[in-house]
Amino acid sequence: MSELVAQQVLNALALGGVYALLGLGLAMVFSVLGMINFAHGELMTFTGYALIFLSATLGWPFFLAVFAAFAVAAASAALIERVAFRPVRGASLTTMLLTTFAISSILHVVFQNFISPRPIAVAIPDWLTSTAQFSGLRIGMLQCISLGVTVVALIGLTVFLRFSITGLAMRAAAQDFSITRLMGIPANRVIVTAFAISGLLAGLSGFLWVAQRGSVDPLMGFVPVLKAFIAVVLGGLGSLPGAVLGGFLLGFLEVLLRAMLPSELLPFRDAISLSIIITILVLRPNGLLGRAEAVR
Amino acid sequence: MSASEKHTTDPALELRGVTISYGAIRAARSVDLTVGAGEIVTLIGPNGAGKSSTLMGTVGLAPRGGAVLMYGEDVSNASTEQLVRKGLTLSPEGRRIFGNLSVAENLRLGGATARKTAGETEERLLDAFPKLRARYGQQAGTLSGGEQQMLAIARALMSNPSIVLLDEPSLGLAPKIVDTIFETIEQLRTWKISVLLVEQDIERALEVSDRGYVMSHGEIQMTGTSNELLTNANLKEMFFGENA
Repeated sequence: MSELVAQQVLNALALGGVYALLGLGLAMVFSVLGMINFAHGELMTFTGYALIFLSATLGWPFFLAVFAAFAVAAASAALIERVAFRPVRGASLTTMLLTTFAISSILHVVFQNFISPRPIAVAIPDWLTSTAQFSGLRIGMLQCISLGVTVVALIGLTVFLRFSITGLAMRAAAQDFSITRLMGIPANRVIVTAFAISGLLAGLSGFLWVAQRGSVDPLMGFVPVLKAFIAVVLGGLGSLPGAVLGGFLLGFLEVLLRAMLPSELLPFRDAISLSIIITILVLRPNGLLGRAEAVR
Repeated sequence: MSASEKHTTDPALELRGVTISYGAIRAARSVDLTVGAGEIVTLIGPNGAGKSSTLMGTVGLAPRGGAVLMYGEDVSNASTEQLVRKGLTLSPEGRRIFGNLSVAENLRLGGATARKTAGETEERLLDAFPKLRARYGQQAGTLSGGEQQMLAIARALMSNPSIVLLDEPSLGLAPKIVDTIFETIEQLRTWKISVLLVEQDIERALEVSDRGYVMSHGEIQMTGTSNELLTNANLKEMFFGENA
Protein backbone atom coordinates (compact mmCIF):
# COMPACT_ATOMS: atom_id res chain seq x y z
CA MET A 1 0.00 0.00 0.00
CA SER A 2 2.75 2.44 1.01
CA GLU A 3 4.59 1.62 -2.27
CA LEU A 4 1.44 2.42 -4.20
CA VAL A 5 1.07 5.77 -2.43
CA ALA A 6 4.76 6.60 -2.97
CA GLN A 7 4.44 5.64 -6.64
CA GLN A 8 1.42 7.90 -7.11
CA VAL A 9 3.11 10.78 -5.27
CA LEU A 10 6.08 10.43 -7.60
CA ASN A 11 3.78 10.40 -10.63
CA ALA A 12 1.91 13.43 -9.32
CA LEU A 13 5.12 15.37 -8.68
CA ALA A 14 6.35 14.64 -12.21
CA LEU A 15 3.05 15.66 -13.85
CA GLY A 16 2.49 18.59 -11.50
CA GLY A 17 6.01 19.79 -12.22
CA VAL A 18 5.24 20.12 -15.92
CA TYR A 19 2.02 22.02 -15.16
CA ALA A 20 3.91 24.19 -12.67
CA LEU A 21 6.58 25.10 -15.24
CA LEU A 22 3.95 25.90 -17.85
CA GLY A 23 1.78 27.78 -15.37
CA LEU A 24 4.74 29.80 -14.17
CA GLY A 25 5.44 30.82 -17.78
CA LEU A 26 1.85 31.97 -18.22
CA ALA A 27 1.89 33.78 -14.85
CA MET A 28 5.12 35.61 -15.70
CA VAL A 29 3.62 37.18 -18.80
CA PHE A 30 0.34 37.83 -16.99
CA SER A 31 2.22 39.62 -14.21
CA VAL A 32 3.72 42.20 -16.57
CA LEU A 33 1.02 42.56 -19.25
CA GLY A 34 -2.15 41.49 -17.44
CA MET A 35 -3.08 38.93 -20.10
CA ILE A 36 -2.86 35.18 -20.57
CA ASN A 37 -0.72 34.29 -23.56
CA PHE A 38 -2.68 31.51 -25.24
CA ALA A 39 0.13 31.13 -27.80
CA HIS A 40 2.25 29.70 -24.97
CA GLY A 41 1.44 26.12 -26.02
CA GLU A 42 2.79 26.76 -29.50
CA LEU A 43 6.18 27.47 -27.93
CA MET A 44 6.09 23.91 -26.58
CA THR A 45 5.32 22.66 -30.08
CA PHE A 46 8.07 24.86 -31.51
CA THR A 47 10.52 23.30 -29.05
CA GLY A 48 9.52 19.84 -30.29
CA TYR A 49 10.02 20.74 -33.95
CA ALA A 50 13.33 22.46 -33.17
CA LEU A 51 14.45 19.29 -31.39
CA ILE A 52 13.53 17.13 -34.40
CA PHE A 53 15.23 19.52 -36.84
CA LEU A 54 18.44 19.81 -34.84
CA SER A 55 18.80 16.17 -33.78
CA ALA A 56 17.31 14.25 -36.73
CA THR A 57 17.89 16.60 -39.69
CA LEU A 58 21.17 18.23 -38.68
CA GLY A 59 22.41 15.24 -36.69
CA TRP A 60 23.31 17.17 -33.53
CA PRO A 61 23.90 15.11 -30.38
CA PHE A 62 20.54 14.71 -28.59
CA PHE A 63 21.27 16.77 -25.49
CA LEU A 64 22.95 19.56 -27.43
CA ALA A 65 19.82 19.68 -29.58
CA VAL A 66 17.65 19.77 -26.42
CA PHE A 67 19.51 22.77 -24.99
CA ALA A 68 19.47 24.52 -28.35
CA ALA A 69 15.71 23.90 -28.55
CA PHE A 70 15.29 25.60 -25.16
CA ALA A 71 17.19 28.60 -26.50
CA VAL A 72 14.99 28.59 -29.62
CA ALA A 73 11.86 28.62 -27.43
CA ALA A 74 13.13 31.52 -25.31
CA ALA A 75 14.21 33.52 -28.39
CA SER A 76 10.89 32.79 -30.15
CA ALA A 77 8.94 34.08 -27.15
CA ALA A 78 11.01 37.28 -27.10
CA LEU A 79 10.52 37.64 -30.87
CA ILE A 80 6.74 37.17 -30.57
CA GLU A 81 6.69 39.89 -27.91
CA ARG A 82 8.61 42.27 -30.16
CA VAL A 83 6.66 41.59 -33.35
CA ALA A 84 3.13 40.94 -32.10
CA PHE A 85 2.60 42.22 -28.56
CA ARG A 86 4.65 45.40 -28.41
CA PRO A 87 2.65 47.10 -31.19
CA VAL A 88 -0.59 46.51 -29.26
CA ARG A 89 0.78 47.21 -25.80
CA GLY A 90 -1.55 49.59 -24.00
CA ALA A 91 -4.50 48.44 -26.11
CA SER A 92 -7.57 46.92 -24.47
CA LEU A 93 -7.37 43.51 -22.83
CA THR A 94 -9.67 42.15 -25.55
CA THR A 95 -7.23 43.29 -28.25
CA MET A 96 -4.34 41.68 -26.40
CA LEU A 97 -6.21 38.40 -25.94
CA LEU A 98 -7.29 38.35 -29.59
CA THR A 99 -3.62 38.89 -30.51
CA THR A 100 -2.60 35.83 -28.51
CA PHE A 101 -5.31 33.73 -30.23
CA ALA A 102 -4.24 35.11 -33.62
CA ILE A 103 -0.60 34.17 -33.02
CA SER A 104 -1.66 30.73 -31.84
CA SER A 105 -3.79 30.20 -34.98
CA ILE A 106 -1.10 31.52 -37.33
CA LEU A 107 1.48 29.19 -35.78
CA HIS A 108 -0.91 26.22 -36.08
CA VAL A 109 -1.36 26.94 -39.78
CA VAL A 110 2.38 27.39 -40.28
CA PHE A 111 3.09 24.08 -38.50
CA GLN A 112 0.39 22.26 -40.49
CA ASN A 113 1.34 23.66 -43.91
CA PHE A 114 5.08 24.02 -43.69
CA ILE A 115 5.99 21.10 -41.42
CA SER A 116 3.29 18.43 -41.27
CA PRO A 117 -0.33 18.12 -40.16
CA ARG A 118 0.51 14.63 -38.81
CA PRO A 119 2.54 13.69 -35.73
CA ILE A 120 6.27 13.37 -36.34
CA ALA A 121 8.16 10.85 -34.23
CA VAL A 122 11.03 12.07 -32.07
CA ALA A 123 13.94 9.69 -31.61
CA ILE A 124 14.19 9.62 -27.82
CA PRO A 125 17.28 7.78 -26.52
CA ASP A 126 16.33 4.41 -25.00
CA TRP A 127 17.89 5.14 -21.61
CA LEU A 128 15.61 8.16 -21.26
CA THR A 129 12.53 5.96 -21.41
CA SER A 130 13.96 3.20 -19.23
CA THR A 131 12.67 2.36 -15.75
CA ALA A 132 14.26 0.97 -12.60
CA GLN A 133 12.84 -0.86 -9.54
CA PHE A 134 13.65 0.53 -6.09
CA SER A 135 12.07 -1.27 -3.12
CA GLY A 136 8.83 -1.87 -4.92
CA LEU A 137 8.78 1.51 -6.67
CA ARG A 138 8.95 1.67 -10.44
CA ILE A 139 10.88 4.82 -11.22
CA GLY A 140 11.16 6.04 -14.79
CA MET A 141 14.27 7.91 -15.87
CA LEU A 142 12.04 10.48 -17.55
CA GLN A 143 10.11 10.89 -14.32
CA CYS A 144 13.38 11.57 -12.48
CA ILE A 145 14.50 14.03 -15.14
CA SER A 146 11.12 15.69 -15.07
CA LEU A 147 11.35 16.13 -11.31
CA GLY A 148 14.98 17.24 -11.49
CA VAL A 149 14.29 19.78 -14.24
CA THR A 150 11.33 21.18 -12.32
CA VAL A 151 13.30 21.49 -9.08
CA VAL A 152 16.33 23.09 -10.77
CA ALA A 153 14.12 25.46 -12.80
CA LEU A 154 12.15 26.52 -9.73
CA ILE A 155 15.31 27.06 -7.65
CA GLY A 156 16.94 28.99 -10.51
CA LEU A 157 13.85 31.14 -10.93
CA THR A 158 13.57 31.75 -7.20
CA VAL A 159 17.19 32.94 -7.06
CA PHE A 160 16.61 35.14 -10.12
CA LEU A 161 13.37 36.62 -8.77
CA ARG A 162 14.77 37.24 -5.28
CA PHE A 163 18.26 38.50 -5.97
CA SER A 164 18.45 40.17 -9.39
CA ILE A 165 17.09 43.65 -10.00
CA THR A 166 15.17 42.51 -13.08
CA GLY A 167 13.71 39.62 -11.06
CA LEU A 168 12.67 41.97 -8.26
CA ALA A 169 11.17 44.29 -10.88
CA MET A 170 9.16 41.39 -12.29
CA ARG A 171 7.77 40.56 -8.85
CA ALA A 172 7.01 44.23 -8.30
CA ALA A 173 5.41 44.47 -11.75
CA ALA A 174 3.11 41.61 -10.81
CA GLN A 175 1.68 43.95 -8.19
CA ASP A 176 1.93 47.41 -9.80
CA PHE A 177 3.47 47.73 -13.23
CA SER A 178 3.32 51.53 -13.61
CA ILE A 179 5.02 52.14 -10.27
CA THR A 180 7.71 49.61 -11.22
CA ARG A 181 8.55 51.96 -14.11
CA LEU A 182 9.16 54.66 -11.48
CA MET A 183 12.08 52.57 -10.25
CA GLY A 184 13.84 53.54 -13.48
CA ILE A 185 13.95 50.01 -14.84
CA PRO A 186 13.03 50.00 -18.54
CA ALA A 187 9.58 48.47 -19.06
CA ASN A 188 10.77 46.80 -22.27
CA ARG A 189 13.54 45.00 -20.43
CA VAL A 190 11.15 43.64 -17.81
CA ILE A 191 8.59 42.55 -20.42
CA VAL A 192 11.10 40.94 -22.83
CA THR A 193 12.75 39.11 -19.93
CA ALA A 194 9.35 37.85 -18.76
CA PHE A 195 8.60 36.56 -22.26
CA ALA A 196 12.03 34.98 -22.68
CA ILE A 197 11.75 33.19 -19.32
CA SER A 198 8.21 32.10 -20.13
CA GLY A 199 9.53 30.76 -23.47
CA LEU A 200 12.32 28.92 -21.69
CA LEU A 201 9.80 27.36 -19.30
CA ALA A 202 7.60 26.39 -22.26
CA GLY A 203 10.71 24.85 -23.81
CA LEU A 204 11.50 22.84 -20.67
CA SER A 205 7.95 21.56 -20.31
CA GLY A 206 7.73 21.03 -24.08
CA PHE A 207 10.75 18.73 -23.96
CA LEU A 208 9.30 16.75 -21.02
CA TRP A 209 5.95 16.48 -22.83
CA VAL A 210 7.56 15.37 -26.11
CA ALA A 211 9.76 12.85 -24.31
CA GLN A 212 6.64 11.27 -22.76
CA ARG A 213 4.68 11.16 -26.04
CA GLY A 214 7.53 10.46 -28.42
CA SER A 215 6.04 12.66 -31.14
CA VAL A 216 5.22 16.25 -32.07
CA ASP A 217 2.09 17.49 -33.85
CA PRO A 218 0.77 20.99 -34.58
CA LEU A 219 -1.85 20.93 -31.79
CA MET A 220 0.43 19.34 -29.19
CA GLY A 221 0.55 22.41 -26.95
CA PHE A 222 -3.19 23.00 -26.68
CA VAL A 223 -4.12 20.60 -23.87
CA PRO A 224 -1.12 21.25 -21.58
CA VAL A 225 -1.48 25.02 -21.88
CA LEU A 226 -5.17 24.71 -21.07
CA LYS A 227 -4.24 22.70 -17.97
CA ALA A 228 -1.59 25.28 -17.09
CA PHE A 229 -4.20 28.04 -17.44
CA ILE A 230 -6.43 26.15 -15.00
CA ALA A 231 -3.43 25.82 -12.66
CA VAL A 232 -2.75 29.57 -12.85
CA VAL A 233 -6.40 30.43 -12.10
CA LEU A 234 -6.44 27.90 -9.26
CA GLY A 235 -3.24 29.37 -7.75
CA GLY A 236 -4.45 32.95 -8.24
CA LEU A 237 -3.98 35.04 -11.37
CA GLY A 238 -0.94 37.28 -11.03
CA SER A 239 0.69 35.18 -8.30
CA LEU A 240 3.91 33.44 -9.33
CA PRO A 241 4.02 31.09 -6.29
CA GLY A 242 0.30 30.52 -6.92
CA ALA A 243 1.02 29.22 -10.43
CA VAL A 244 3.49 26.68 -9.03
CA LEU A 245 1.11 25.63 -6.27
CA GLY A 246 -1.79 25.38 -8.75
CA GLY A 247 0.32 23.27 -11.12
CA PHE A 248 1.29 20.77 -8.45
CA LEU A 249 -2.25 20.62 -7.04
CA LEU A 250 -3.69 19.94 -10.48
CA GLY A 251 -1.08 17.24 -11.06
CA PHE A 252 -1.90 15.60 -7.73
CA LEU A 253 -5.62 15.82 -8.40
CA GLU A 254 -5.32 14.20 -11.83
CA VAL A 255 -3.06 11.39 -10.62
CA LEU A 256 -5.21 10.80 -7.55
CA LEU A 257 -8.37 10.52 -9.63
CA ARG A 258 -6.63 8.27 -12.16
CA ALA A 259 -5.54 5.94 -9.35
CA MET A 260 -8.74 5.95 -7.31
CA LEU A 261 -11.63 6.22 -9.73
CA PRO A 262 -13.33 2.98 -10.81
CA SER A 263 -12.71 2.22 -14.47
CA GLU A 264 -16.27 3.11 -15.54
CA LEU A 265 -15.80 6.64 -14.13
CA LEU A 266 -12.34 7.24 -15.62
CA PRO A 267 -13.72 8.97 -18.75
CA PHE A 268 -15.16 11.61 -16.38
CA ARG A 269 -11.80 12.26 -14.73
CA ASP A 270 -11.31 15.74 -16.24
CA ALA A 271 -14.91 16.70 -15.47
CA ILE A 272 -14.48 15.63 -11.85
CA SER A 273 -11.14 17.38 -11.40
CA LEU A 274 -12.57 20.57 -12.95
CA SER A 275 -15.62 20.35 -10.66
CA ILE A 276 -13.30 20.16 -7.65
CA ILE A 277 -11.36 23.17 -8.91
CA ILE A 278 -14.59 25.12 -9.49
CA THR A 279 -15.62 24.31 -5.91
CA ILE A 280 -12.27 25.64 -4.64
CA LEU A 281 -12.73 28.81 -6.73
CA VAL A 282 -16.25 29.30 -5.41
CA LEU A 283 -14.76 29.28 -1.90
CA ARG A 284 -11.71 31.34 -2.91
CA PRO A 285 -12.69 33.36 -6.01
CA ASN A 286 -9.23 34.91 -6.34
CA GLY A 287 -7.49 31.55 -6.28
CA LEU A 288 -5.42 30.04 -3.50
CA LEU A 289 -2.77 32.76 -3.37
CA GLY A 290 -4.46 35.50 -5.42
CA ARG A 291 -5.12 38.98 -4.15
CA ALA A 292 -8.58 40.45 -3.96
CA GLU A 293 -7.42 43.48 -5.93
CA ALA A 294 -4.47 44.02 -8.21
CA VAL A 295 -3.35 47.53 -9.07
CA ARG A 296 -1.99 47.83 -12.55
CA MET B 1 28.07 64.55 -10.76
CA SER B 2 25.15 62.99 -8.97
CA ALA B 3 21.60 63.98 -9.78
CA SER B 4 21.35 65.95 -6.56
CA GLU B 5 24.41 68.08 -7.25
CA LYS B 6 23.29 69.87 -10.40
CA HIS B 7 24.15 73.58 -10.53
CA THR B 8 22.29 75.72 -12.98
CA THR B 9 20.43 78.98 -13.04
CA ASP B 10 17.45 77.29 -14.70
CA PRO B 11 14.63 76.02 -12.49
CA ALA B 12 15.02 72.42 -11.39
CA LEU B 13 11.58 71.64 -12.82
CA GLU B 14 9.40 73.64 -15.15
CA LEU B 15 5.98 72.77 -16.53
CA ARG B 16 4.88 74.80 -19.54
CA GLY B 17 1.28 74.57 -20.66
CA VAL B 18 0.94 71.04 -19.33
CA THR B 19 -2.36 69.36 -20.08
CA ILE B 20 -3.42 65.98 -18.70
CA SER B 21 -6.27 64.22 -20.52
CA TYR B 22 -7.97 60.89 -19.91
CA GLY B 23 -9.90 60.46 -23.14
CA ALA B 24 -12.39 63.32 -23.31
CA ILE B 25 -11.78 64.30 -19.68
CA ARG B 26 -9.19 67.00 -19.08
CA ALA B 27 -7.78 66.66 -15.59
CA ALA B 28 -5.34 69.57 -15.96
CA ARG B 29 -5.25 72.49 -18.42
CA SER B 30 -2.32 74.69 -19.40
CA VAL B 31 -0.47 74.28 -16.13
CA ASP B 32 2.58 76.56 -15.84
CA LEU B 33 4.69 75.89 -12.79
CA THR B 34 8.32 76.09 -11.70
CA VAL B 35 10.34 74.57 -8.87
CA GLY B 36 13.68 76.24 -8.27
CA ALA B 37 16.80 74.28 -7.40
CA GLY B 38 16.64 73.29 -3.73
CA GLU B 39 13.19 74.83 -3.38
CA ILE B 40 10.11 73.28 -1.76
CA VAL B 41 6.95 74.20 -3.65
CA THR B 42 3.44 73.17 -2.66
CA LEU B 43 0.56 72.55 -5.03
CA ILE B 44 -2.74 72.87 -3.22
CA GLY B 45 -6.36 72.67 -4.23
CA PRO B 46 -9.64 70.93 -3.54
CA ASN B 47 -10.23 67.25 -4.31
CA GLY B 48 -10.45 66.62 -8.04
CA ALA B 49 -8.54 69.81 -8.89
CA GLY B 50 -6.04 67.86 -11.00
CA LYS B 51 -3.05 67.96 -8.64
CA SER B 52 -2.26 64.25 -8.58
CA SER B 53 -2.88 63.98 -12.32
CA THR B 54 -0.37 66.80 -12.85
CA LEU B 55 2.25 64.91 -10.85
CA MET B 56 1.52 61.61 -12.63
CA GLY B 57 1.66 63.35 -16.01
CA THR B 58 4.94 65.06 -15.11
CA VAL B 59 6.63 61.67 -14.64
CA GLY B 60 4.96 60.23 -17.74
CA LEU B 61 2.46 57.99 -15.97
CA ALA B 62 -0.59 59.90 -17.25
CA PRO B 63 -1.26 61.12 -20.83
CA ARG B 64 0.36 64.54 -21.01
CA GLY B 65 0.61 67.47 -23.43
CA GLY B 66 2.77 70.57 -23.08
CA ALA B 67 6.41 70.74 -22.05
CA VAL B 68 8.39 69.51 -19.04
CA LEU B 69 11.88 70.89 -18.49
CA MET B 70 14.52 69.77 -16.01
CA TYR B 71 17.30 72.31 -15.42
CA GLY B 72 16.36 73.91 -18.76
CA GLU B 73 16.49 70.67 -20.70
CA ASP B 74 13.28 69.71 -22.49
CA VAL B 75 12.41 66.22 -21.26
CA SER B 76 8.84 66.19 -22.58
CA ASN B 77 9.47 63.13 -24.73
CA ALA B 78 11.43 61.17 -22.12
CA SER B 79 9.89 57.98 -20.78
CA THR B 80 9.22 57.51 -17.06
CA GLU B 81 12.34 55.37 -16.77
CA GLN B 82 14.48 58.03 -18.49
CA LEU B 83 13.10 60.77 -16.23
CA VAL B 84 14.00 58.74 -13.15
CA ARG B 85 17.51 58.24 -14.48
CA LYS B 86 17.74 62.00 -15.04
CA GLY B 87 16.90 62.62 -11.38
CA LEU B 88 13.11 63.11 -11.25
CA THR B 89 10.98 60.82 -9.15
CA LEU B 90 7.55 60.55 -7.54
CA SER B 91 6.24 59.19 -4.27
CA PRO B 92 2.69 58.49 -5.41
CA GLU B 93 -0.64 59.04 -3.74
CA GLY B 94 -1.78 56.02 -1.72
CA ARG B 95 1.88 54.94 -1.13
CA ARG B 96 1.72 52.11 -3.67
CA ILE B 97 4.62 50.27 -2.11
CA PHE B 98 5.26 46.73 -3.33
CA GLY B 99 3.47 44.85 -0.56
CA ASN B 100 4.65 41.42 -1.75
CA LEU B 101 8.31 42.49 -1.42
CA SER B 102 10.25 43.09 1.79
CA VAL B 103 11.24 46.57 2.98
CA ALA B 104 14.82 45.79 1.92
CA GLU B 105 13.69 44.70 -1.55
CA ASN B 106 11.53 47.82 -1.97
CA LEU B 107 14.54 49.98 -1.13
CA ARG B 108 16.82 47.96 -3.41
CA LEU B 109 14.44 48.43 -6.31
CA GLY B 110 14.20 52.14 -5.53
CA GLY B 111 17.98 52.37 -5.84
CA ALA B 112 18.19 50.35 -9.04
CA THR B 113 19.36 53.37 -11.04
CA ALA B 114 21.92 54.52 -8.46
CA ARG B 115 23.56 51.28 -7.40
CA LYS B 116 26.98 52.82 -6.63
CA THR B 117 25.54 55.12 -3.98
CA ALA B 118 22.65 52.85 -2.94
CA GLY B 119 24.32 51.59 0.27
CA GLU B 120 25.17 55.07 1.50
CA THR B 121 21.75 56.47 0.55
CA GLU B 122 19.99 53.57 2.25
CA GLU B 123 21.92 54.14 5.50
CA ARG B 124 20.98 57.82 5.45
CA LEU B 125 17.32 56.98 4.88
CA LEU B 126 17.25 54.29 7.55
CA ASP B 127 18.69 56.89 9.95
CA ALA B 128 15.89 59.26 8.96
CA PHE B 129 13.27 56.50 9.33
CA PRO B 130 14.51 54.18 12.13
CA LYS B 131 11.23 52.24 12.02
CA LEU B 132 12.16 50.99 8.57
CA ARG B 133 15.45 49.67 9.92
CA ALA B 134 13.51 47.69 12.53
CA ARG B 135 11.24 46.29 9.81
CA TYR B 136 14.00 45.80 7.21
CA GLY B 137 13.34 42.13 6.40
CA GLN B 138 9.57 42.33 6.87
CA GLN B 139 7.09 42.06 4.02
CA ALA B 140 6.10 45.63 3.14
CA GLY B 141 2.40 44.81 2.94
CA THR B 142 2.39 44.04 6.66
CA LEU B 143 3.66 47.52 7.68
CA SER B 144 1.38 50.09 9.31
CA GLY B 145 0.09 52.97 7.16
CA GLY B 146 2.71 55.36 8.54
CA GLU B 147 5.55 52.91 7.98
CA GLN B 148 4.32 52.29 4.43
CA GLN B 149 4.37 56.04 3.77
CA MET B 150 7.92 56.28 5.13
CA LEU B 151 8.87 53.40 2.85
CA ALA B 152 7.24 55.07 -0.16
CA ILE B 153 9.25 58.25 0.44
CA ALA B 154 12.46 56.36 1.18
CA ARG B 155 12.02 54.21 -1.95
CA ALA B 156 11.62 57.35 -4.07
CA LEU B 157 14.73 58.91 -2.51
CA MET B 158 16.82 55.78 -3.10
CA SER B 159 17.26 56.81 -6.74
CA ASN B 160 19.30 59.79 -5.47
CA PRO B 161 16.98 62.26 -7.22
CA SER B 162 17.48 65.98 -7.68
CA ILE B 163 13.71 66.57 -7.86
CA VAL B 164 11.08 64.64 -5.94
CA LEU B 165 7.32 64.91 -6.33
CA LEU B 166 5.44 63.99 -3.14
CA ASP B 167 1.75 63.25 -3.49
CA GLU B 168 -0.30 63.48 -0.28
CA PRO B 169 2.45 62.10 2.01
CA SER B 170 0.49 62.74 5.24
CA LEU B 171 -2.91 61.46 4.09
CA GLY B 172 -4.62 59.33 6.74
CA LEU B 173 -1.64 59.22 9.11
CA ALA B 174 -1.46 59.73 12.88
CA PRO B 175 -0.22 63.21 14.00
CA LYS B 176 3.07 61.84 15.32
CA ILE B 177 3.84 60.15 11.98
CA VAL B 178 2.82 63.34 10.14
CA ASP B 179 5.45 65.21 12.20
CA THR B 180 8.14 62.71 11.09
CA ILE B 181 7.04 63.03 7.45
CA PHE B 182 7.22 66.84 7.51
CA GLU B 183 10.57 66.79 9.33
CA THR B 184 11.88 64.61 6.49
CA ILE B 185 10.46 66.96 3.85
CA GLU B 186 12.31 69.85 5.51
CA GLN B 187 15.44 67.72 5.65
CA LEU B 188 15.28 67.28 1.87
CA ARG B 189 16.28 70.95 1.58
CA THR B 190 19.59 70.19 3.29
CA TRP B 191 20.04 67.24 0.93
CA LYS B 192 19.67 69.75 -1.97
CA ILE B 193 16.62 67.99 -3.32
CA SER B 194 13.93 70.14 -4.95
CA VAL B 195 10.41 69.21 -3.90
CA LEU B 196 7.00 69.62 -5.49
CA LEU B 197 4.53 68.72 -2.76
CA VAL B 198 0.83 67.98 -3.11
CA GLU B 199 -0.72 67.96 0.35
CA GLN B 200 -4.14 68.16 1.97
CA ASP B 201 -2.70 69.59 5.20
CA ILE B 202 -2.40 73.00 3.57
CA GLU B 203 -1.16 75.04 6.52
CA ARG B 204 1.50 72.52 7.40
CA ALA B 205 2.57 72.20 3.77
CA LEU B 206 2.87 75.94 3.26
CA GLU B 207 4.85 76.25 6.50
CA VAL B 208 7.61 74.01 5.12
CA SER B 209 7.42 75.43 1.58
CA ASP B 210 9.00 78.42 -0.09
CA ARG B 211 6.17 78.99 -2.55
CA GLY B 212 2.83 77.57 -3.49
CA TYR B 213 0.38 77.21 -6.35
CA VAL B 214 -3.35 76.94 -5.97
CA MET B 215 -5.10 74.69 -8.45
CA SER B 216 -8.81 74.36 -9.07
CA HIS B 217 -10.83 72.80 -11.91
CA GLY B 218 -7.60 71.67 -13.57
CA GLU B 219 -6.06 75.15 -13.76
CA ILE B 220 -3.59 77.15 -11.71
CA GLN B 221 -5.68 79.89 -10.07
CA MET B 222 -3.16 81.59 -7.85
CA THR B 223 0.52 81.57 -6.94
CA GLY B 224 2.70 83.27 -4.38
CA THR B 225 5.15 82.78 -1.57
CA SER B 226 3.99 80.56 1.25
CA ASN B 227 3.51 83.57 3.52
CA GLU B 228 1.40 85.35 0.92
CA LEU B 229 -0.78 82.29 0.47
CA LEU B 230 -1.09 81.64 4.20
CA THR B 231 -2.36 85.18 4.76
CA ASN B 232 -4.45 85.41 1.61
CA ALA B 233 -8.04 86.10 2.62
CA ASN B 234 -9.60 84.39 -0.40
CA LEU B 235 -7.54 81.28 0.18
CA LYS B 236 -8.43 81.20 3.86
CA GLU B 237 -12.07 81.35 2.95
CA MET B 238 -11.70 78.74 0.23
CA PHE B 239 -9.86 76.18 2.33
CA PHE B 240 -10.23 77.04 5.97
CA GLY B 241 -13.75 78.44 5.93
CA GLU B 242 -12.54 81.61 7.67
CA ASN B 243 -13.77 85.08 6.88
CA ALA B 244 -11.13 87.74 6.36
